[in-house]
Amino acid sequence: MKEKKYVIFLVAVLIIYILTELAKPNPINWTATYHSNHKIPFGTFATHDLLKDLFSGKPAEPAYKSIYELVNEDQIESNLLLMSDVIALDRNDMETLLSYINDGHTVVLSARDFGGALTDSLDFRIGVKDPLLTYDFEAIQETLVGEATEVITLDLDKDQSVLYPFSNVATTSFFTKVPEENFKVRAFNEAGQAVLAEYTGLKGKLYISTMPLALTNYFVLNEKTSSFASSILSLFPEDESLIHNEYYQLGRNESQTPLRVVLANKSLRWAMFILLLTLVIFLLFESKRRQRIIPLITPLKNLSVEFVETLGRLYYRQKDHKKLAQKRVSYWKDFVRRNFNLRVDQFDEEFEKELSKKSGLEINKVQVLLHFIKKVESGSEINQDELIRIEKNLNAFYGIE
Amino acid sequence: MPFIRSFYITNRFFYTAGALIFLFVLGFAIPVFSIVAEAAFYLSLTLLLVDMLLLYRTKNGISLERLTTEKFSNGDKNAIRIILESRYPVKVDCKVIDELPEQLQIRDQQFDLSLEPGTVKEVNYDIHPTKRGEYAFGVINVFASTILGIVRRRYQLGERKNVAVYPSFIQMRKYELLAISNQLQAFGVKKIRRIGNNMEFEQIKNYVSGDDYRKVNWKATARKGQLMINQYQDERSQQVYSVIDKGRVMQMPFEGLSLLDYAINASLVISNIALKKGDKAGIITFQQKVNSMLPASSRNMQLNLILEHLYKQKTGYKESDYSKLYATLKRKVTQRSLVLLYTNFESLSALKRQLPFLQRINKQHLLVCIFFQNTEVEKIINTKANDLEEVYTKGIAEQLSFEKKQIVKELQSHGIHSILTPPKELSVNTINKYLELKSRGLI
Repeated sequence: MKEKKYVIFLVAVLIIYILTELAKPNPINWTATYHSNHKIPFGTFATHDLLKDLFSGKPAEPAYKSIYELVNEDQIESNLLLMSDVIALDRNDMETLLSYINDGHTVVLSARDFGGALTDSLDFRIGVKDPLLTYDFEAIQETLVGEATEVITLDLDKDQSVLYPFSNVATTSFFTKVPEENFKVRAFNEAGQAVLAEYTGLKGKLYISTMPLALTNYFVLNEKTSSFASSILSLFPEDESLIHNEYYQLGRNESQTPLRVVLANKSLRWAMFILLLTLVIFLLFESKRRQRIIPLITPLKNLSVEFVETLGRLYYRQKDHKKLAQKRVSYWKDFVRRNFNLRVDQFDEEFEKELSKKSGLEINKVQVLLHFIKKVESGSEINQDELIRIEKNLNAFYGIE
Repeated sequence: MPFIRSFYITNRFFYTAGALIFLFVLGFAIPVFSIVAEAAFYLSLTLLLVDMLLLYRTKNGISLERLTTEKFSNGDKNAIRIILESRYPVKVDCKVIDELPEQLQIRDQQFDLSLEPGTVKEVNYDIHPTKRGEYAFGVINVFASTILGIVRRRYQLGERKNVAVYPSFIQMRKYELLAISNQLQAFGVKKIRRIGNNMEFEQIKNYVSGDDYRKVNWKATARKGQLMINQYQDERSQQVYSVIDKGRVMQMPFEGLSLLDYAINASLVISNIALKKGDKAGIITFQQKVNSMLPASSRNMQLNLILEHLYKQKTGYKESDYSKLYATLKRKVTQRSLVLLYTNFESLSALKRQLPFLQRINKQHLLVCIFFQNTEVEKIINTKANDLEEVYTKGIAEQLSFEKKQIVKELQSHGIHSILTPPKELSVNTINKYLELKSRGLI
């Protein structure tokens, strides 16, 4: 009955906990993932919907590989869209990218910050203001609610430029250096700093944008800014396929477990699963009791030996060999009196003979023993060596092996 | 749930799993083996299912019964029998684990046996309790497995049972028979030369050669016309009190049994013999005060009363107060009695403190002081010392042993009888003393 009570109590607590958790308002996840399946504000689910509309129902494919792999291994022939917080290509990626663009493809790179080989070779620089707005959820939320906006001027067509009021969250980055001989500025902020630039030194088209958030769900679904996104996405030719490469934000979209080698092979996978299953069975069934619990009862201990040893050590510290020898002799005398019925007040020849006869010890050994005993009896000093020889002789006498 | 509860796995299961894993890993290197491994896996799985089916298809496949006596005897071997019966159509191997009383502290007892279909087998074992009181047996766990031996099925059978451990009634019966049949010599009870004559008249009988002619009853001879002789017997109806010291000194255990329990066992033995010889037996226990007293009597019930009385004894091992004991004996035991005092003196000074009370008691009664040789110390005396420190230890041990013998002498010099005995031989030495005192007519 008692156990039942506990179970009921536990279940009740669990239910209350679940209810309060459900009742709590869900905090909004302001992480920028740019993932095509994410419906959070800074995912790109809506963007992909928009792409489908723009490209007459043909969806943009997501990819999770480096540019080098895509171009050299998968031999793609599509245009590329890259969105990320930071794009810092290594030399291989960059060279591949540039030659790929040179083959006549269109690429849009959109990131809050750029680094690595790309900025060096194309010779542009990026600046960031309000870095708090790139990671602090509360600041992001406040800014979005407070409607602090910055007007971005989009200048794709020569004749007409369009103004878009963007929240400050989207406009934290801008170009600080754009070499004019190779770049055309396509959009700029209130301070006149570029936020979208076209690189003109190649056969294909390369657009670099510092406003990746403008292409996420939040701003795509916002009426005021939605057409900014569609304008940028319209930079891709309509009849060519498009790949949204998420590698630079999310990495390889595959299981990250260290067991992936094991899991890749059928035999090893079997071995692995049998091992795990066996372990689970081991835990479940080997931990079961085989008999009831027997509480530990410490038995009474006989401490006589410890007592004697302690006393012995005490005397040993004093090193009074004479006193100990006397103790041993009085025990021996008692032994002789009791077992052999001999008087022990005189150790004469008669006594020697009798003792030898009764104890069965050879007469010369008896004499040696008696020599020591007489010495102890006379009260003279006994040294350590003698004490040990007395022990040996007594052992022979008592027949202790 | 009952299925899960009773389901256990053998080592063979894990060995098989290990072998399979090895085969699969081998299959990674040599692909042929992965086919073999897969086949082996399904084969093992089939065997596992077959094994489970064999074990669980038969309902109540094993039945058993545990047989014990109603009471156990403390300090002795007590037999327990378990009778198992199998109803399985196949041979099963059984691991039998009896849930023993916790006092025994045995956790590793296990019996392995195999049962042919429909056979009955017995498991016999002894337990050796060293404490009085209730011993609670749990159920008996039987783990059955077939010849495949992959899984085990547990049966929890037999009934929970409490058995009371009483003072050693086994010893009591043993010495009783021996005392009556005069075979005690074999156990170290020596025949005592009879000094003097017993004075209690029993009967007149015909003279046969060898009878003591000083005891010829001349009047009866004249009446009958042939030689008649008076026959005497040991005096009867003398009181024998077993006085048990329950104090601090009696706590020391030897071979698992405390001195108190040795004393209790010996009291039971001696009381039984005294009753059989026609004397009255009684019990007194004391520590810081007199705890209990069972007046001496020779009624039929007395032995049972003594047994129950001794069974109940509990103690806090306090410092014993001999003055209280003396006062009680003085007031309550008016007839001169044999007082067997079970106690322990470790040193001469311990004795000297109590000696005045012992002398007082000895004035009115015949006091026998029973105390114990310390066999642990004797062991030290009888081993070789290897270095100087051990020589010292041995010397001290000899001194302690010597002191015990001096205690005997000290008591002797005050006319008090004493028994210095190893705990194991307590009962024999006590009977011996009793018979000696009886035949010497000292009570």
